[in-house]
Amino acid sequence: MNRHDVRSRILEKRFLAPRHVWMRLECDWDPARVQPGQFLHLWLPELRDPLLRRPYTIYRIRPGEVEILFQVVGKGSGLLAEREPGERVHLLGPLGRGFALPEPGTRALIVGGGVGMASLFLLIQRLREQEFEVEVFIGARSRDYLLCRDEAAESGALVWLATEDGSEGFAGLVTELVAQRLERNPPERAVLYGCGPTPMMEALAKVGAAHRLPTYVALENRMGCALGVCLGCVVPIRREGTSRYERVCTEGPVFEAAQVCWGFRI
Amino acid sequence: MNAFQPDMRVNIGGFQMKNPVMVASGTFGYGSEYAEFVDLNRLGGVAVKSITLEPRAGNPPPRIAETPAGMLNTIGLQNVGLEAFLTEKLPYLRQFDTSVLVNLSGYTVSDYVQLCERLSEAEGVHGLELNVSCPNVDCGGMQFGVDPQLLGELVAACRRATRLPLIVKLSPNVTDIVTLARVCEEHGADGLSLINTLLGMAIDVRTRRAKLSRGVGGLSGPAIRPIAIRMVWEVARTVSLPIIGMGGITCTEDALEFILAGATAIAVGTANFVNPSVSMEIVSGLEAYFQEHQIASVDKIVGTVQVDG
Ligand SMILES: Cc1cc2nc3c(=O)[nH]c(=O)nc-3n(C[C@H](O)[C@H](O)[C@H](O)COP(=O)(O)OP(=O)(O)OC[C@H]3O[C@@H](n4cnc5c(N)ncnc54)[C@H](O)[C@@H]3O)c2cc1C
Ligand SMILES: Cc1cc2nc3c(=O)[nH]c(=O)nc-3n(C[C@H](O)[C@H](O)[C@H](O)COP(=O)(O)O)c2cc1C
Ligand code: FES
Repeated sequence: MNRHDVRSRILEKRFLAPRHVWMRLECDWDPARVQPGQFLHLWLPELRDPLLRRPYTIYRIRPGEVEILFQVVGKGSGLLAEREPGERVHLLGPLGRGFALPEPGTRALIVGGGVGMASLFLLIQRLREQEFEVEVFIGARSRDYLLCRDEAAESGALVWLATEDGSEGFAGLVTELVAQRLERNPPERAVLYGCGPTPMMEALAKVGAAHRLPTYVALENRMGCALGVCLGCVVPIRREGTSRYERVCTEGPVFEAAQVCWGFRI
Repeated sequence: MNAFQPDMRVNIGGFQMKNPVMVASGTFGYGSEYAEFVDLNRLGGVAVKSITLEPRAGNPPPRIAETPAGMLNTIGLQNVGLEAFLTEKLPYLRQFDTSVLVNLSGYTVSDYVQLCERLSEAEGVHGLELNVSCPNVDCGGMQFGVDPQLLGELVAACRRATRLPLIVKLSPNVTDIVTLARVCEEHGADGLSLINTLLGMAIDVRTRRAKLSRGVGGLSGPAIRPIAIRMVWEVARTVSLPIIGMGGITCTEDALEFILAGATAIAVGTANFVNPSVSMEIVSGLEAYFQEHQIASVDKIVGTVQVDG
């Protein structure tokens, strides 16, 4: 395998919204070997509290640097957001199994909720590089939290927006917008890709099933090692009629939505 | 260069290691998962994830929760089972020059005995570690580790079933760990592992739900280190069995603390999750300490902590 624990430094930091942070970090991974949807496990070195690393998806990668996009939700992300350029972090990765690109000629519908968009940008980029038709559905609480809209549009994807408070685009849940879009104009060959809160991924799985579209979702869970040993990050998955616990860090984070036994708690 | 070469080898009742640094059961998988970060040939030993006779699915999520300087887990002994361990996991470990301690767990004495018998026949198993201390299963595991009578019967039965070094991993969830350690000694154990996780619980006040699916789980990490040190010290003073000390080790100093308290070897657990190459850093760090202080071998300082009064 091809995983490393690099001693990195923060190169640049920006707040995109009150609790949304973008960071550029030193990192020597070969971009060609990073799959869209793969993640890194970030440590603020020598910290004992919080003790564990925090998983973040690789938002963008270029030779010599990697970018992450994260939301401040608690202690670990709060401390990371306070770090300044020049300060040290350790990056373990690239980890997990990412999104696979579809058969040529397939239309890709990409659905991101909130900071879930961070997991999808590399996918959009790779798909557009190979000239797939891409539609991106971006959902958020309100307009300030709509992420990656410009980058998605610049890539040549068709962009749809949904906000829960109606401050921009469709008023409601982004999965409702996807369902409407599919009902109005059912595509011939398409695939759904999603990342966002677990209830949203469950809703997307239903939309995908109703339209008989292959649907792939990136799931989240608490992580210990992110290397497949602690078995702390499992979710129930059904394959060939039998369900068992699979690791988000190793078999995932991307799963086929129809195989996920929804209703678990993380 | 320092010409002084300390002898880092240790012996836990016949379980020989080239140095005192192990990785703890359940925190290192079956070895291959850490291949990029750890040179297994430099590790003293590897304790593999608890094996049961049959594969186990484990407990539902959420299985882990973080607490100050520690983590709670309720994995529930998810493992591949004995057969898959022997055919799929053990061959990998056999390639390396490190000592393999197979940790095992069961519901009944007969489960443990069968595991001891089968594992004794396998090539590449250098010692057995009885897990009598898993807090995360309803039946088996910890019940043996908290009852002196049951523990004595279990250890005696396993002793009859194997000639491999037999190490008992004790539960810290007892009022008097020394009594249980003595029982192991009297019934033929060759060594002790101290400690497994401490029972704990955490609650999400926003949702008012327990953070772990089963409510309680096992606490590990730096938060438990003082308790582990205390238990190693108490047991080492009264029982002559060699001890593998663990609980919250994150660096060389932590490892030395255990050795001074009375542990002959040490195991790194949760810290592997945070810093995957920490065991290598401790191997080098210990050697440097012995060189710097001109200590000829590990046993020279085991249990030599000075306590006033
Ligand atoms: C594979 C993967 C990729 C991820 N990528 C991103 C990303 O690109 N950007 C981003 O902002 N977040 C991402 N996350 C979620 C991120 O890891 C968590 O938000 C973070 O660990 C929270 O740490 P904290 O210390 O701030 O929160 P804590 O103080 O630990 O918890 C605060 C709250 O955050 C939630 N939470 C905690 N840990 C997780 C977790 N691992 N997953 C989901 N929710 C959690 C819980 O509801 C908890 O109550 C990803 C998670 C995974 C598993
Ligand atoms: C996620 C996890 C899984 C564990 N699984 C096992 C196990 O299967 N068998 C066992 O004997 N101990 C198990 N342990 C306990 C550790 O081996 C060790 O005794 C304990 O965690 C204390 O050390 P630490 O604080 O360095 O982690 C596990 C610990 C953790 C954190
Ligand atoms: S986080 Fe440890 S197995 Fe996935």
